[in-house]
Amino acid sequence: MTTMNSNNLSINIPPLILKKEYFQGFLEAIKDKYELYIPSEEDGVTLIREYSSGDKLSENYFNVSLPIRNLFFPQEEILFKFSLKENYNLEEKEMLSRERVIFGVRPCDILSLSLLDLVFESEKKDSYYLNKRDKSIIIGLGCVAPQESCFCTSFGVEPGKVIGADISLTDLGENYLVEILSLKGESLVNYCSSIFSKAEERDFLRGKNIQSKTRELMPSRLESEAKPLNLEKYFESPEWQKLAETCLGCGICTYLCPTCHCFDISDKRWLEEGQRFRCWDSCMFSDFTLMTSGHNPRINKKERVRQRFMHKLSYFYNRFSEIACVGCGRCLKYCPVDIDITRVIGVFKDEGK
Amino acid sequence: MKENNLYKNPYLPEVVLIERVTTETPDIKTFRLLKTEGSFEHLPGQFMEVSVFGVGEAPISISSYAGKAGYIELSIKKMGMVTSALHDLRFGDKIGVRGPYGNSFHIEWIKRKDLLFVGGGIGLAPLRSLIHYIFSNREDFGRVTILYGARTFQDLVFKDELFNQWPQKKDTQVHTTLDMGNDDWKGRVGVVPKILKELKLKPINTVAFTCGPPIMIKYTLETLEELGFPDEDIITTLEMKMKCGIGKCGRCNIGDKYVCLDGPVFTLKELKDLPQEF
Repeated sequence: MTTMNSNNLSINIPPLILKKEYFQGFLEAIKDKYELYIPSEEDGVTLIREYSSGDKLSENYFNVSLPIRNLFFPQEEILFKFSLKENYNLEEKEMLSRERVIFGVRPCDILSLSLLDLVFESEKKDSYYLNKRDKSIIIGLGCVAPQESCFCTSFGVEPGKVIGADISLTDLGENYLVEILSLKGESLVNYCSSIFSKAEERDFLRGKNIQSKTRELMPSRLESEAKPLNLEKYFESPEWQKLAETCLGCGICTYLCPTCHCFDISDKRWLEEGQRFRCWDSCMFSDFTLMTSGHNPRINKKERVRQRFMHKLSYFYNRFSEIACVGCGRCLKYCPVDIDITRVIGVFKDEGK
Repeated sequence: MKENNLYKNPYLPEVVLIERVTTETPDIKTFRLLKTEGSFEHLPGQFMEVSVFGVGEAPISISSYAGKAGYIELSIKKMGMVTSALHDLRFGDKIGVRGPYGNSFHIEWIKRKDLLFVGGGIGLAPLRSLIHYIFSNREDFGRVTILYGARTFQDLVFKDELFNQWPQKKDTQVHTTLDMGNDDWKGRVGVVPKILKELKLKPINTVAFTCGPPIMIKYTLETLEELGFPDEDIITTLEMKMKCGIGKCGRCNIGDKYVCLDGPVFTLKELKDLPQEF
């Protein structure tokens, strides 16, 4: 993926300063050339939304409620249209041609994209997802304060420091420290270079200090770095049944997870035309694996709860050498019955002793 | 292909022609498909994602191997929405296909070995792709034994091959059995695993392939083990709920294996290493 891997050896721009008084002008300048998305608040909910002139950046947001994957792998997406006549006239959905800028992405969500890349880039490449990745410039914003539900540091994330985006912003109070991380980031900065000033060494050092401070404020949900758990040996553990007894099977954990990528494919038709679309699906639903024959390998909630945790913590690691969790905390924050992935990791870590 | 997209769209089916429809049983038909340009290339054991536009898509195993002839056959039981819509189609109609997907039977590894096929109902379909391959490269393989069963006579698929063509092949034995016989049936009666036991086959230098309803597979695997077949010489093909066919949509996994990528062909040894959730 160009965003993740483009080497920054050839980036010559030193760290810059963006004064907050120029911030709105910065957004306007971007909007003139790119499609722009920023975290904005409506009715108390902060989401990354398309920017229109005058929209304000949501103040003091910790993270957006919906994960960033929505912009790359939308909840519902048309794959192609067809007519029901002779040759069907398959018409591929128009791909993005214009570049877009996504501002204010948090370090945990940036990491989640690198995990989704592993799935969508492997084997047969997913053209819909990769087109959106190619056309996106991501401006990451380091966290200055964690939420009570955060545990990203257990997954190697430095919450104050942006890695893997195209541009890193660090909030210095009155200014942002701007660091360019990729060639795409460089092209964006070059496009509106007059809005920035050169960072003094003290700004840079202050930025580095702020970047490393957030970690100290993290709640201690997991003692240390999460290690890949060999959960296969706990396949028959009674813990799964215990979890299943509280789980409602609502699927909110999977819908809000930035690394969940399961989807359904289906057709809609009208009189003489139709479309094939995909939409998010969830391993927490009983019909997810229900076959036409009536056979269902994950018929009980126990098996579905087990599947979700084992996929994230074990199966994904076996395939891609990464755990499919970034510690964003959305699943445990929004679970109506307080099922907590950090407790699950803790239980099996203890059993393993 | 849109100019601004660098990647080939893996979800876009190719529209192909139904060249022939054969009614196998009251609820199973075999569709022979031809490309409008070029020819199908696949390995025995692979599957296709089949589209009836406006109804949906379903994974279907390829039931033939035609080599240079360039067509494929899909033997389809009328079960759900897509397969029912397929059953309404006729010669000359067009459908969409993606694929072939999945691994395949390990041809190199079974060369010069004796081969045992144990099929039940529609389960003979994926095995037939390998049977075709073997008969078109007959000298590369040892003796072939085919044991196939269905509930009643009218439920038997590929009758012409079973009764007329395959028994004529060199070093080949075909045993057909019915769960329920009738006055006209002079062949064997009894469920497949029971007949398998009666055949008293020796596992020496033999690889066994089985596919059929889950209950038949279960007892067939047990019987093969009893006969002394080692786990790595017992091979089956699995079915799971599947959508994308290319390892993304996340539903056909058994543990860390995806049936669409790592399967559908597995050895019993591999199956025993998987979580028992299929």
